[in-house]
Amino acid sequence: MSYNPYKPILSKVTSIIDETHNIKTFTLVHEEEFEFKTGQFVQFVISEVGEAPFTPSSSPYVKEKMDITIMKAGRVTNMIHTLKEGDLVGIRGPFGKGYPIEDFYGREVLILGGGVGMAPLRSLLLTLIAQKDKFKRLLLLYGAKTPGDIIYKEQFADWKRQGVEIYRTVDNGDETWKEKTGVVTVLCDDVKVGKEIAIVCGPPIMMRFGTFKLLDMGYRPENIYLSMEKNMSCGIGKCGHCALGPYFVCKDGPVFKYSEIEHLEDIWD
Amino acid sequence: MGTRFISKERLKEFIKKLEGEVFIPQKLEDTFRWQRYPTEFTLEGFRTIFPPKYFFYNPQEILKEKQTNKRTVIGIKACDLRGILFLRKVFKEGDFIDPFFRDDILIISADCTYTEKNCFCTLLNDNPYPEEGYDLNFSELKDGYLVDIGSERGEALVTENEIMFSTVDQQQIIDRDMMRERVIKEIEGKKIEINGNIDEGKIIDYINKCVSCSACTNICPACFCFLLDEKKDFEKVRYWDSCQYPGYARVAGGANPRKKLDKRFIHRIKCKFEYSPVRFDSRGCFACGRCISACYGKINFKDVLQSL
Repeated sequence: MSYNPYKPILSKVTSIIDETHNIKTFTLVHEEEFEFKTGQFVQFVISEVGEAPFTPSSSPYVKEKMDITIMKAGRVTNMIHTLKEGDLVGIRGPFGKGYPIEDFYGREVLILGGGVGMAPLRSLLLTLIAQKDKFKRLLLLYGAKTPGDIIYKEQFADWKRQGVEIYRTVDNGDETWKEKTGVVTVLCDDVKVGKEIAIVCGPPIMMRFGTFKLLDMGYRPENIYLSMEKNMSCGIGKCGHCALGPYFVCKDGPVFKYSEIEHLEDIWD
Repeated sequence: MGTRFISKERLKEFIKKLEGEVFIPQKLEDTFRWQRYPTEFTLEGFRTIFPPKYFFYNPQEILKEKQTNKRTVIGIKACDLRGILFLRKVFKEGDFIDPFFRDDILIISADCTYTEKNCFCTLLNDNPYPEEGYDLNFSELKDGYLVDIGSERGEALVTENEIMFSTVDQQQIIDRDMMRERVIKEIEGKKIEINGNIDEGKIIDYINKCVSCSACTNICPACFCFLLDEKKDFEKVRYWDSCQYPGYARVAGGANPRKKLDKRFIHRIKCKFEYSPVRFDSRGCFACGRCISACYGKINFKDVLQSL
């Protein structure tokens, strides 16, 4: 039989990091060769339970292992959170189109991230950092609910050393929090930018207000890249679940230019 | 590839020569149902109660081994053949190919010889007779059938059984044209044209009668959506699914773009008439009218489309 796109490859969980009270990062070592482009997603399969789509959070240049950062949000992710080191899971993919990195060469790239939306953005950031001389400027604006909800806490300092300008905010601070307070869009007012390329990833409400803020700032719709979350299932544009207007997010996305989808209904729901 | 004639008696012999399982309509009361090797069968009338989609795309299947048993489906009507060609585009074209959808089935289609009250193909400018995609097509005449050969496979079958077929005379072609014209005239009503935005206000009374039961999508010869389920040892099963279920588009965390009934109802219309032409270069409704017959809320989809 020809290639079976529904059959996963096997992958072993080799380490688990608790990022926050409900987010973990799983490091997987695949039993077969596996490559992805940053922004593409995979289906994480638990035998007899189900599968759910995630964008890997590690650099696509690292081939021998892959990180996936997962928030508990439903039936499958609750099961994933019970995994232990050494467990075998399935991986299907990679699916969809990633970020068109070459189109960003020579330009200023602003990344606007919220909550666990930082997971795919970490993969993107590591990809950009690996070839940082090709970009005019890299900025990361990141927001979380509380300081305890910030993921990759230990890694921001390293990204900063690599030349990324980083601004952070939390909705609700505490006595230890010395940075900005408020929703992520407040950070946009703090930066002077050339309004070239913007990339947004986060929960639906943050994506919506983040995009509107960028438009207000003067970013052009064709320069705003959104990572859309819909109910991706088959991954190959057949099962219909992730329909977004005429697109299937699984194969036509998950990364879209805002100009490609702005005329469609219900993109933020 | 040519046209031949076969008598009604010879057709029975011809069917016996077909390898593997053969499905063909049987008339029961005023309806037509698929039967496996029925003793009595017919190619008259209009489409069957269930669409032939079932033979090509299993409603529940383990995604492991492709089914390859020899199979012939006889008597597929024009609307259903268009549905199969549409599904073939969905599953067998594009960047990824679904290995499980069956494209190896021998297709013997047949002209409609009369219609039923919910048929509306001509209102979408389709004809009630097959025009492409068949291996053989049968047009019923008084004493037999005109047989159009549509593929090399069809040609080979006719050649192998040459003795059963005869040449066609001009009068038989004229008789068929007259039959086709008569059937076309049976369907009356306002032509359907769906352009651009859908005015929900015009169809709100229909929408409010929908109970999201999925009868319309399950019985549709062109609806293709499915749900994947995970079994032991990373084996997958797929089931037909429906965009009319409230949870269909829901994501983890609870966001759901089509939580409301009206959004789902309009999505079905847009999928068929606006999105499918973009995705697959084909409309996704072939006016068989089954969704009208099956609707629990007695929604007449033809009326819905005519209202837009």
